[in-house]
Amino acid sequence: MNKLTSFTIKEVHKAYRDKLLTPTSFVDLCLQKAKQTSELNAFVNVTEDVAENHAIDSEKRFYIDKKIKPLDGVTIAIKDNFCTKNITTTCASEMLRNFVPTYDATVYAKLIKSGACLIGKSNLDEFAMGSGTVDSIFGPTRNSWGYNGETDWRIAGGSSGGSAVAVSSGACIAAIGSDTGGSTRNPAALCGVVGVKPTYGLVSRYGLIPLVNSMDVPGILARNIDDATEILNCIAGPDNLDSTTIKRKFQPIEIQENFDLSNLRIGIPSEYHCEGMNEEVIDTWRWVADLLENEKALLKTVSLPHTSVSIAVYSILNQCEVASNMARYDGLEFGLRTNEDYSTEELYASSRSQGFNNVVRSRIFAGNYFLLTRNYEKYFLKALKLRRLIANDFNFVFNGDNRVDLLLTPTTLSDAPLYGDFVSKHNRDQCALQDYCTQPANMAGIPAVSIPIRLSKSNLPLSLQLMGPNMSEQLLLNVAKRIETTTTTEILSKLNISIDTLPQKCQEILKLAACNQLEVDIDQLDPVAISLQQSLQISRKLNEEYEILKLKQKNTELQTQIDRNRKFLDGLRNELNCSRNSLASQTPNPENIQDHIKQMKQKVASYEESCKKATMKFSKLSVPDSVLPKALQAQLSVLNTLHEEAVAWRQRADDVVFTRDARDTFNRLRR
Amino acid sequence: MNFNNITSKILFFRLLSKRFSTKIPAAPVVTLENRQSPKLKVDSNTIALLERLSLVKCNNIEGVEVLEDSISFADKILHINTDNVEPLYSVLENENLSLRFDKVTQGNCQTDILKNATVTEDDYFVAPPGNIPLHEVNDNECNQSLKENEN
Repeated sequence: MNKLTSFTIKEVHKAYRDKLLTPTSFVDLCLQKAKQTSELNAFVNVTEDVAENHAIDSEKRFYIDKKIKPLDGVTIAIKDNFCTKNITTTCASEMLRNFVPTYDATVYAKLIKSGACLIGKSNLDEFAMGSGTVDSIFGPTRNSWGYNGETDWRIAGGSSGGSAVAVSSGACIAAIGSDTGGSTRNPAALCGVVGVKPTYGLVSRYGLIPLVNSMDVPGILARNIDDATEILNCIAGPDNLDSTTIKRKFQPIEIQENFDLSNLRIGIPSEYHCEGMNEEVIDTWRWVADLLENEKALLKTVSLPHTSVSIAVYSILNQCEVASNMARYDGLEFGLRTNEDYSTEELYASSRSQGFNNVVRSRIFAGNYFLLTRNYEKYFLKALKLRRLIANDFNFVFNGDNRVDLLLTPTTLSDAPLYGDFVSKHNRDQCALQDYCTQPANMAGIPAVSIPIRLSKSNLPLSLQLMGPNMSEQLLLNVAKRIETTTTTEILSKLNISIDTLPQKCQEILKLAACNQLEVDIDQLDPVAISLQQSLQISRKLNEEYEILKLKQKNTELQTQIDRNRKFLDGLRNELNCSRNSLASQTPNPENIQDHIKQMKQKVASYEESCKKATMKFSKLSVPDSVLPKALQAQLSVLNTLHEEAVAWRQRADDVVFTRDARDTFNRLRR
Repeated sequence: MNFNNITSKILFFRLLSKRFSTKIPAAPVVTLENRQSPKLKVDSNTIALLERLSLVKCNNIEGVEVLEDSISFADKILHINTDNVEPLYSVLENENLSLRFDKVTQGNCQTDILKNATVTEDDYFVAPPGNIPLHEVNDNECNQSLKENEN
């Protein structure tokens, strides 16, 4: 019925290729889902416009350019402590309520470059300090599992609870969280999704607002191992903007079908069975260990002796680094600023007191206490030394004489607690319980993955954790995938099987039996037959309901499509009207174009006439000498001399005539 | 002796052993933590010093209790022997972490940088008068003892 909660990257890409869905329609569905489930409070900010723009880009690549990127049309949520350019990034704190980053976190930039579509920024504990997503200025996030309205609901785990609920409720395919002491794996475990904490330094922290710099890693939440691996492949690798990334080329991880577990050594650290651990969790742990043994893996008990003190060491280091990291929030350059103006320090103090909740303030306080000169060695250096012992425990287990390849442990001590029970404890006690199994991996920097296994008696997800040595993601995720498939098939085999999947012969026999039963009178029916009849009716009814629901779903899908088309058509119509209007206001108006042409023709005729006149006039004009060609000039000068000669000759001729006349008159007179 | 009986017994035993051969520890493992640590009291001078260092006003009974609780939680690990152990500052201590070239790669981002400030004047951030230590307003007499405490 509602496939949204089960879509994987592979399936959604297939649906795009088959045109059952398009990136824009799928993003719409996800946005709708995010709005429908707003009661769960998974999102701090649903970025509708951004998602639609990303979807349009994806759609273009998918159908027009045919250059498909690995995450095209894949909807994601980003924890609200990763910077996103021009999208508010609040850390769920009053301090950053109006903070708009001017740059993108590397993780987000890489995801968008791979084609992903951002559905929204997800909720978290203030500055990721917590393990329940209950300490947020936007209110707590509610687990979608076992949700029964306002009063009866479970916590989502934390601090990336918003991301986990966004994935499990179907608002997005995958989400990014951050993992400092288990903040990705813990909510993943309580919400029944996969949570991956990569090796420290494999994924860039640039743009992740820091909590504990030496332990923070971006984490991945997805519905299965394949999707989580796909996301990891897109975000992992060295980054020039983060000096603590491992500067080696990242080899993309390949998940193999039917990964061979024989001769794989898996360790069970005995210290992870701590006090307060739920019996159901132990059962699940045992069940999976036995399953792995059946797959020919070698299981052995190992010891990580410093596990039990790890949580206290973690709490010291966490508070010390928090005290130093939180020093940047003074209200001057960014963040909350109060109206205090007596002195700079007064302004700092009042802004920080208003901007931080009491969890953050008390961690800063305790951190500064441990860092006082008189306490520095006693607490801080001691904790760092113990941190080495904890890391050495792992080193020995992975590289020592009796070494193992991976470790299998629970992720949390129980299934998701009720909100009321959880908030009755103080934040430090909450974390001490919730982070017990997860924070050692952060202390040592090793990779870990939380895998949902089965449901508890109260129908809530139970998960286990796999840990491996540094940079062992390839092995870790392949074994996790194997556990995922084995447990799913194991669980499926215990369920009732639908008739369609049975062999033909069985189906025929069942049909025959059913027909025979139908012909028998009611009083002759045995209870089995009666229940068969009843279930037949129920199944018919269910089928009908299913069909109706399917049709309804289709209807809504069509409706959204129709709406979109209508919008599109309206847009086109508007555009047409606009262009018509602009045409009408233009001269010439197309309707009186003929007149216009006539006028133009007349004008042309008059122009021609004046042109003729002009040429006439021109021809009458004398040409200045300088314009004439040289040959002509020579001839002209010759002509001039000839003229002069002619004048001279004429004068001479006149003279001759005159003298002749004079001589004649003189002769006559003489006579 | 019935042969069938023996094989079934062996099978049964195997099943049993299968059930209990699991490597998961049956009971919680004893921890290294020191459980009886005396509750420490933090004096008001230290609280005032921490307030100045933290630049957070947090001077109430609940805040002090949480601090004391955090300290006693940390005290549980102090008895563990760490002689000749080097502190672990970074888990990447064995990695080559490269430095970038000393070249300008960013710039012209003044408007970006000023964008998120609440109060700016021309191209500057604005702060109230400096060099006035916190608490001068309300408890001048406390300052003397603070300075002695600040080490």
